[in-house]
Amino acid sequence: MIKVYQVEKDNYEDAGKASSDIKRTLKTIGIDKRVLKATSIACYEAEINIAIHSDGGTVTFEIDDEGIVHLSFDDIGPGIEDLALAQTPGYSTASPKARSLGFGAGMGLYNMKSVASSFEITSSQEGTHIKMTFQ
Amino acid sequence: MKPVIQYLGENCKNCIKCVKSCPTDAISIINEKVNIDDTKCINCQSCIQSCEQKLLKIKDVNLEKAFQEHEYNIALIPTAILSDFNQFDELKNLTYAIKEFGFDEVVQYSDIEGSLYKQALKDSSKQGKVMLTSFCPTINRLIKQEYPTLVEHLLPYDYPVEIAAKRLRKQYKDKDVGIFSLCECVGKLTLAKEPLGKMDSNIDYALSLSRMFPHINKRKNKGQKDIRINKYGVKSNVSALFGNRSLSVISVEGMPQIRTVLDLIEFDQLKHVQLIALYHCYQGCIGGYYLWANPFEGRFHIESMMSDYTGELVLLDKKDYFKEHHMDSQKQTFKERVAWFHKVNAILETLPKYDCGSCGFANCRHLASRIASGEVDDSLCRVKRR
Repeated sequence: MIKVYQVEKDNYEDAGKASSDIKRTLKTIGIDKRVLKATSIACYEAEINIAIHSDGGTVTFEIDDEGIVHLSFDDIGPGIEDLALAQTPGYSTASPKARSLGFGAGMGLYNMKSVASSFEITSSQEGTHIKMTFQ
Repeated sequence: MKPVIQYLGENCKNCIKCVKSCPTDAISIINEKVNIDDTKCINCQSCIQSCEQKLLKIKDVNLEKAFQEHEYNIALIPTAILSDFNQFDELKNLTYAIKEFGFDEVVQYSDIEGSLYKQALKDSSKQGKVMLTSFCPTINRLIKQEYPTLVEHLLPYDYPVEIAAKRLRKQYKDKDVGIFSLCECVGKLTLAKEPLGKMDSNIDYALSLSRMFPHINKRKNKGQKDIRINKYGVKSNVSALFGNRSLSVISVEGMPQIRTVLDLIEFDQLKHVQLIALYHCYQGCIGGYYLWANPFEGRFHIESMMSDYTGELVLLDKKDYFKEHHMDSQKQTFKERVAWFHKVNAILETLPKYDCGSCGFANCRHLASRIASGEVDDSLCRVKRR
């Protein structure tokens, strides 16, 4: 089963809806709760990132016959300048105000990487692509 | 456990209001008969209120018979009953009336609720994650069924009414005691051996407060019996009074809001909250279905008597209240579940996915799963037939 969700730039009202639907699907299957938790947290973080930082993109969800969850996040730019720096815990481009409110703690990519079973990221000016699996 | 609600009668008009009202899709109507799936029902009473034919009823205890079975009968009364009164003396009248009716003893448990309330504030402060506390069996079932990753966020406490019953058992260990819990809500009826078969409960019978009202009304003006209530116990029953001095302690009431907050916790999006008290009913337990007054005035009543709540807290030992929340284990293996999911999905793709409910199932997925199991076929789908 494969499902593709559109994520619009700066649409904060709908940001998180793809993650909610994916979470619901995983619960319907009755997936292991450790996998459910990891997928939910990483998916939400990555989806919100597309809405906030990119010019828009898609979330692709797949569950294969073995029950392995595959998530892809593909946006159309503008890309992350320094990928290594962006994955450092605590590094954030968020404003001090946003950070004081508890957002933009700079743990996003780092957290995704630590909860996913596999994690790949590529980025150029044409877009950022993240692939994660959970099992 | 069995659902509190059962279907009685044969005049179901297939209006599907109960099907659509159910928050957990536990109801289906097949051949003009309502079925309630006991693995899904959370005993929230939405369907009873939605049934215009009044065919859905609460399972009941035979009170007269139950009364004869033990030599010493004790009534446990809920703290939320205070919201029905204007003056604290009315609780003394009620206590007297329940005794007059035939109970040997009337016991309150606000002292236990108060101690657990304080324990919850203490235990949640150093966890490093959002903790959940609920004396509401309906919400606890919802979490176990639909939010499996959050079970470990629930504080590991038994229900105050169960703790009260356990203590009474110990106190009267040489006596044949019958323990009756008078309930302010439908969910609490599940906490007893009868009528719903929770056999590990120390409570023998659970019955609705409203069943007692006619008996109480006849006797309430004839005398008073002293009873003391603990103010922290009261606070734990009222959503707006829970943890009102700390910003990191909040309370959430009502199914839509509870779902919203649980979703956010699953996404790890609550950064500043340490403890959330959850109540299915509006304003908390004072919104219980079986209370006489309404929770709007009720909140005024219960808060305006605050200086009358002079009862002490009870000192609880950890073994008195500690109870871990467990989830029911799943019967199928994970691979079987994935295969089943794909099978149901394939059928779902052939259905209209309007989730209209006119087939008698809450949504197309529910119908698809019954088609997959061979119980029904897709001729039930009215949209498809057209």
